[in-house]
Amino acid sequence: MLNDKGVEEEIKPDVKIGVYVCSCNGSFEKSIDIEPIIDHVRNFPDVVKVEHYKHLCEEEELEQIKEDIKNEIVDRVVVAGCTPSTHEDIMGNILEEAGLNRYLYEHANIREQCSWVHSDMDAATEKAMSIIAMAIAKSRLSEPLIGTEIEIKPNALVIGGGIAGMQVSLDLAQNGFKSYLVEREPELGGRTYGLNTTYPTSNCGICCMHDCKNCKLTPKIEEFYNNPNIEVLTNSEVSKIDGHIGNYAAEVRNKIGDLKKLYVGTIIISTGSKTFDPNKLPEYGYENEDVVTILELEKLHNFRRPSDGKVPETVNFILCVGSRSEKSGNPHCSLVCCNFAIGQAREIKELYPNTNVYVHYMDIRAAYQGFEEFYAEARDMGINFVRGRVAKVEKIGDKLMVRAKDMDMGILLKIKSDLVVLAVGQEPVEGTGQLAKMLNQELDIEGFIKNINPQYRSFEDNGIYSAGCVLGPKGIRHSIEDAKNAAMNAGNLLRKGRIRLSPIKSRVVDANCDGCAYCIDPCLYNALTLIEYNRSGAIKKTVERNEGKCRGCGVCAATCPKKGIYVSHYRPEQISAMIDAALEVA
Amino acid sequence: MAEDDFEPSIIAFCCNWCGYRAADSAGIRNIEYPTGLRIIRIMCSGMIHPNYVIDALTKGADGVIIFGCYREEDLRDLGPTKYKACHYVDGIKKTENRAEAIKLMLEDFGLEPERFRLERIFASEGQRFAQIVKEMSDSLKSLAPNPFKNS
Repeated sequence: MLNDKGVEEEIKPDVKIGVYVCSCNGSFEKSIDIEPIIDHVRNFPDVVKVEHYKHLCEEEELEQIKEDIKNEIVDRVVVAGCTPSTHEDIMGNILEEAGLNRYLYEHANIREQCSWVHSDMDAATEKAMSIIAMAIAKSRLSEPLIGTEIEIKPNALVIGGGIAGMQVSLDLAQNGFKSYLVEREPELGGRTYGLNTTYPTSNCGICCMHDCKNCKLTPKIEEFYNNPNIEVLTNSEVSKIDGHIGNYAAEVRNKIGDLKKLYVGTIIISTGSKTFDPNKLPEYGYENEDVVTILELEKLHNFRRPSDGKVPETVNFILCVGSRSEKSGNPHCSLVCCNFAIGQAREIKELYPNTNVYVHYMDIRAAYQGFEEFYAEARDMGINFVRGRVAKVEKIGDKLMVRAKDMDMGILLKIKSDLVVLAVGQEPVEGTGQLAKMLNQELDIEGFIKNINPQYRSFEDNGIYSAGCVLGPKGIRHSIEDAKNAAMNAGNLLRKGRIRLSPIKSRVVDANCDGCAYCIDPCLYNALTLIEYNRSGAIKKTVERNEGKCRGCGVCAATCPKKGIYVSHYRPEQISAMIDAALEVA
Repeated sequence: MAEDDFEPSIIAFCCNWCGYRAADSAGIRNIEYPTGLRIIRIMCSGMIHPNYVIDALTKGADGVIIFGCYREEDLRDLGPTKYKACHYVDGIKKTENRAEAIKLMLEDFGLEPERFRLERIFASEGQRFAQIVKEMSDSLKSLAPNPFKNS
């Protein structure tokens, strides 16, 4: 084969492959006959050891593999048994403990992909032999791989200074890491800052950012500006980001056009969401002054009508405005609006006991701790909960006529109202898509940042974490939880200082690459660039791969007409050898 | 070999994230499928050079199938299963473009289009994985033998 420098390198022919067949505590001896497999595999030229184990997961049996490696009986290991999805990493660790590179390991899946899906014993046994032969064929050509170690810059960029972003910065600061918090508005705090009260705990939103004994968990705004580990950049937006895990270069531009360049090791996205624009649903009459959203209600002095400042005699809340309906807004449930609207309805009822308060709902979703009790109490207080949809809100004189259906009573209601409050849902904020593109983050169907299963996180880390409503609608409490989680992940990365990248990356074969550049555009991570250099007096074109950016998907390898680029551990020779082995008739 | 004993050999290139795990899912649920399937695990379906497919077919495989992930657009039709799509932004789209090229190459080699399939799958779709393999195996049985076999 050819190495990076295009020098012909002989793969040592004297590999010593050890094949360890595990029958998973007898779980597949019913459908596979192990003995003929052992005899068959023993005949392979490079296989020096074949052994049948009952239960390789057990310490003593694993010890045997380690002993064989340490005694230099084997220098490559193939385990035939369960799926590599669960056990490849464990076995890799065993190899490393015994002093062998983890990429000299191959897994033959004869459990999930053979014995468990076939009942014909002869056919299944034959297939198992073939699967093991494929693994041996690949193992024969495998090479030790070691990833490059890179430095992690000891600071973070937090994009979005709402309550989630603030919490991330504070938690990082507490752990001794510097962060830059970029916020496009002049004030920190996002939507939380505009709230009078949060429910069901009945604290105030502003309190959430000051010293309040009830909300110890939330970020304190005073601590912020004084914290030497936090640099706040308000009125600013991130205009460009380049780089990879451990080393991102970001350009931040403020409203007056000043440019600041930041070099950080990790990035946290906490840009939040926006509330649904009720103008999109004309039936709710939002153009009337006395129809307000739940956030606008927060700003009304003592809940008086905006048009004439009178105390409202009748108030109608409409829930799920822009939520839970694909036709009118978004398919998702916005999670927080039920609770928030009920809280506001209670405030009105407490302040003006004679005011009639109606809440029009589809279902009340009071799933979190304390919410159900909060809702039940609201009913006892005399708030009218009407299950059904509101058909129309229209202005009649100085009143608003709310036409609604009461599904439980099966009647149509016409309620003369002074104030109508729309419980608007949350949706992705402008710019989420551009930011995601800049950072190679995926979006979900609705345009929020995709909430990646945390199980996958550790597997292939790019040093970018998300927190708060940018992942989907959330309340304060859950945004804070998210933020703490993100800060912990980011902090763990920063604490390492250096990390070793996965060696499963594309590699350019300089001798074969003629710089045709077919691979450059398809690369999903902008990891490839065309370069020219002087090789023995002549200009040579070739492709350079950025190791940090490359994720090893191999899209480049499939575009190359000349075998000029491949992914290590999945080399063309290895795949060809597996195809050959698969088609060999036993 | 008797005609009904014929077990078509199928090479499946399965991406590490969806395809391979779908095969595991079939295993966990003990859903049977034809024994002629041989799975080669790769990181992303976008890694498969058309040459591998042609290589396998000209070496005598009766069929080749690539299992990759769903695309963003598919998710819209499939409903809010928003946690499971391509692991590498849109590697599957690259695979699709390549599948077009592979179909043209099959023609050049005088091979039937049924010998190659590109399928999108979720890791959880074990049942569907088995179904697809069975369908393909049945359709290969109805074709004339691969002209490249034993040549």
